[in-house]
Amino acid sequence: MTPQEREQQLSQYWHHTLDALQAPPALAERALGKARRAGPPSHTLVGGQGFWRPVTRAFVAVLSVLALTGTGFFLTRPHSLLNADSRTLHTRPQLAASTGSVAGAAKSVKLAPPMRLAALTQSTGPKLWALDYAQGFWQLWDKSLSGSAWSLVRTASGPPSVHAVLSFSQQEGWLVLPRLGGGWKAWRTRDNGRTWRPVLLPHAAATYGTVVLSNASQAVYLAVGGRSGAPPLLFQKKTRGWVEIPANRLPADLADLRLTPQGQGSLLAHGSVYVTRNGGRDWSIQPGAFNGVMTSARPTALSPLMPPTALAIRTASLEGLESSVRGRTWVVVGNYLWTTKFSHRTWQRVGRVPTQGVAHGLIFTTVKTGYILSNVGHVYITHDGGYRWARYHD
Amino acid sequence: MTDPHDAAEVWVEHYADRVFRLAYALTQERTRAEDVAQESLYHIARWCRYHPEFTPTDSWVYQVTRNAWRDWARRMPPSAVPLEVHHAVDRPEDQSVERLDVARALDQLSDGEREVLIFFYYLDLSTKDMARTMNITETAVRIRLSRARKKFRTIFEGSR
Repeated sequence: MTPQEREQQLSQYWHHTLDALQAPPALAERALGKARRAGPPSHTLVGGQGFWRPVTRAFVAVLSVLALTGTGFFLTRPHSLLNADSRTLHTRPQLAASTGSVAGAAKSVKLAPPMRLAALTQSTGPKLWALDYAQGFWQLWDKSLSGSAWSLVRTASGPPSVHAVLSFSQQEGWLVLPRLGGGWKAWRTRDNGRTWRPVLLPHAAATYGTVVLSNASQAVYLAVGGRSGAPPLLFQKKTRGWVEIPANRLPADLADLRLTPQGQGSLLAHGSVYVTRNGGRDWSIQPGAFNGVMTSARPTALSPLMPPTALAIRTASLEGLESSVRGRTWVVVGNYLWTTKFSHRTWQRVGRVPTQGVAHGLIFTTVKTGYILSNVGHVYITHDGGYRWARYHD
Repeated sequence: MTDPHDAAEVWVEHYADRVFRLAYALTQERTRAEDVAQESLYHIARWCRYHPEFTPTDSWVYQVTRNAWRDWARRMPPSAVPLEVHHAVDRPEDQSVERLDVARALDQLSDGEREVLIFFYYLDLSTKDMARTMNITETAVRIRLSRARKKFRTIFEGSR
């Protein structure tokens, strides 16, 4: 593409995007009403027209020269003086493209978790993160592990999907959301969710319907599937971009992925666990992985137990979902909820989980009250430790 | 003599759409654009009301809008942030690979880089007008424009 064509596309993009826009009528009325109530302006709006601007600049230049030659201590901030007059050279905060802000303070809601959950996860802090979808927007919530209220910290537009990804590994988090019309968009944070920067995904990912991502210990892998007639693809994030890994026997119906920098990993698909030991190049099904969890003294593949308070880990291991509170742990494996106390030596099967298909999240906030997230976004609640479940806020 | 109230209304009505479009291009989100546009129109109305002899120019209006946007961005806390911009290409009827690629590439640019591209490719301002609007020298405008073009090209070509 020639530079002229590229620039023409840019111009066409802006005109296509903006030319049809019209200011809401109330906008001008509100501005005029506010102007009527206000007094006369006490300053020039934009640094003066004609006369004042060069005078101001000359004045500042003289002050700057004096300051540089050490003539006066009060003359050391020429830019501030210029700012006071022109209001245009202020030092702007270094905001990334994604760090604008919506007006108003962050919203908080009591009672966890937010509705229509798509993902639950945890970062350092410790901090819980929830991703849900409401009224055409994806909403990212956080709360401290000990806190009771969720705060809405980010929003994004897009269609609903049960395949949205929210994944944290210590301070680094990834968020992958569907794009209207197909494809995916992604953001990454490296400071525990304080700032999120958009990240380009592999171009091929745009045509696939399912995305799973693994970011264990700064090794980021992305697999895409769910496209009929096309093999699933596996990518690794490198500093120069995404590098495709030729994967043998990678299943198409992807549910979750976990790959370590050492090349070992597992993948949940078709309700089965696939494992690899060579960085994702070869995959093989792991028979009886679920049974192994239940018979071992401690499910080694599950994440280490956290302090005795509520936590939620979204498929922290591929063997199931785990939630622990006050020394008691619940695990969802397959369609059943299991529980154990303290030692993890004995496990008791509580019963079937209310979700149909793979559960996407599990969280117990007390030893009696817990929530489970289905793979279609429904939330169920129990008040008796998991024996009976009911739909939460239909 | 023109009634100052009428003059303010005339100018606000005259520039409302253009201010809103520029605010939308800068903020890339409708709600935020409305905030910035209202603040800009307020400044324009207030100035025109008390200076009825003053005739607003396009570049002056753009400069007021730009300042309102920057003031707005500076005031906002770095939390509760929209993750993304809401491009018109997110509407299915506007879907095209080229526009999606442009939108994605623009997402990767900084506010300052996107700003010079908007001024140059959408508002069709000359570098001289851009320098006046942004209150920098023409040379600085050319440098910013060159860097923004280069970065846009790199991202745009890389995404295809």
